[in-house]
Amino acid sequence: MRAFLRNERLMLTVLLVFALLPPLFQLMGQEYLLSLLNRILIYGLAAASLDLILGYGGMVSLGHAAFLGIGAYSAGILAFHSYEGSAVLNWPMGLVLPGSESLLLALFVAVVMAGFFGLLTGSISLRTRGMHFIMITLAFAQMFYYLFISLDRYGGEDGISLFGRGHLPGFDLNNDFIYYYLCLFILILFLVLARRFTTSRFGLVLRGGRDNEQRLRALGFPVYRYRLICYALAAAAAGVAGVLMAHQGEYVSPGLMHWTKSGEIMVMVLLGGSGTLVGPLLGAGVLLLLEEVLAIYTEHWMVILGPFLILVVLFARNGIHGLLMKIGGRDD
Amino acid sequence: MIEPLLQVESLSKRFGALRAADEISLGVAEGELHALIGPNGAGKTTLLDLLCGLTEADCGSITFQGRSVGSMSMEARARLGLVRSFQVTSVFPTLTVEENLVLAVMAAQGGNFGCWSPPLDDVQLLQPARELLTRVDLIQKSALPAAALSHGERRQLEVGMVLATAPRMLLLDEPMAGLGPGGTVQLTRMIQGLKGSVTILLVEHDMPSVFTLADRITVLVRGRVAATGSPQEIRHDPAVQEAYLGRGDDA
Repeated sequence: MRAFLRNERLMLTVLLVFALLPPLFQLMGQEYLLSLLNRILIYGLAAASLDLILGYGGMVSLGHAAFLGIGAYSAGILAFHSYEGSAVLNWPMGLVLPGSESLLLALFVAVVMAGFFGLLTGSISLRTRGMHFIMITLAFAQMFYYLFISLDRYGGEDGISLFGRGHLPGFDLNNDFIYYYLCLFILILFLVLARRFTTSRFGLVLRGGRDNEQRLRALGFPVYRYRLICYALAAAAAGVAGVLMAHQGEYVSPGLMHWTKSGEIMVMVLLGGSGTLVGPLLGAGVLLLLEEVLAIYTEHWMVILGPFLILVVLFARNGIHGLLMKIGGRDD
Repeated sequence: MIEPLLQVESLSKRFGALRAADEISLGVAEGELHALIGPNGAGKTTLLDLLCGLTEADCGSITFQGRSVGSMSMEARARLGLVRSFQVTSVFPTLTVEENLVLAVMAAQGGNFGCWSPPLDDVQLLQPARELLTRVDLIQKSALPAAALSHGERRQLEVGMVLATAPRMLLLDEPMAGLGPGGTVQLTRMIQGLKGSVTILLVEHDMPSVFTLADRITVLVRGRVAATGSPQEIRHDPAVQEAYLGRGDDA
């Protein structure tokens, strides 16, 4: 219980830092840092959503970026048709979805699409275990990647450029501050919901399945169904992160779905500490900062980053979160 | 005399030429702790397999609560309340002891797709879980992760999770196996505490705990019942002493 409370405290601290940094940047006259911080925030959301699958569900998915991409393309395609003045969908019987730059609509479409494809691909992938599961999630993600590369109408390999950040009534999203705090609000909303989810009955069953699937079955729980629901919910959350990412950089690229992106998100989770929700947030922060800093010195920054990650995985098995918990005192 | 909770009549099982169970008959009364002893290869585990439904008998009958269960599946027998606890302990290592039991209680109650309210705030779950923790002597350890428990304590937890399904009769397969002296004493005390509230058929090699716990003992030798009786009677039965206890293994 105490460990749980300390975890809460760490999460509050991290969120407080996220809330206080932007004004600080402005005081220092370093506004350009805000965009990096915003990206950390959004990747943190994506990584935390993967944590539901990886850390709580014990399912090692290497295809999470697909849902990020589906979210981003939902926003991108809606905006593209809005610029063009055409309809996204024009089906008979009045089923017409016009293009739109509304952020809320993009979020809604992204949640539905990512959730749906999560359910679809999950229902097949979750019939496998271990290495097979890793490979099949990766394969599905690559399928989406090549699908979007082949969509010439939506830019193919070049992706879609957005003009401005879309609309939300009452807010000017082109203001970086406002957009940042909107992202922070969504992240907090997600963390609150995810926290409830993981401590609920559902979450307990899920964690039981991570620990000992056979025993959970013997108790009579339909493990597959629990995992599938978790997988689809996490996919939907990644879809949200995708929309935020598209509008933040005003650009949607198929590279967002590439399996290396899935790997990057997974590294964030492992680096930060899986099964903690706040850990992946820290992981996203450290990874993106390192990338940024190392890239100043050398274009071969991966040569340094790679060994660093191996060291972390070897010597800090519970990631940054585990280290912080150790520093903060023993469990009891 | 009242009809016993479990009645076995001329149960037989052959594996090739080996008669693993040879015309076994025995009755276990409600609330009784009945121990099953015998030298290695006497067919004790085979008998448990037959009783819980893991293997099917060649002939003979098994009656539980007045119903013939001989051809029922393991799950069906478990639903009737005839439950086996396996030698291999199987718990959820990173969950706390309390969460392990809450999960078992949830399984018994059903309706577990709730995504909002935490089960650890739910009195309906917590109260039975706490009661079970007390019954298996683990209430002091409830906040520890199961991985931090000793071998014997994990057995206790496992039994607690089995008890959550509210069995009428428990088939315990060598619970003391692999435990040190301290663990054996502790587990014996726990089983002692269960006596009366649940009928138990105990297969065990550890003679001191068998003679402490059992109301009645059945001795199996080469697939046959060599003797059945109170611990006193068994201790002094000449046939038993020769076949089994004669090795100086006397309690």
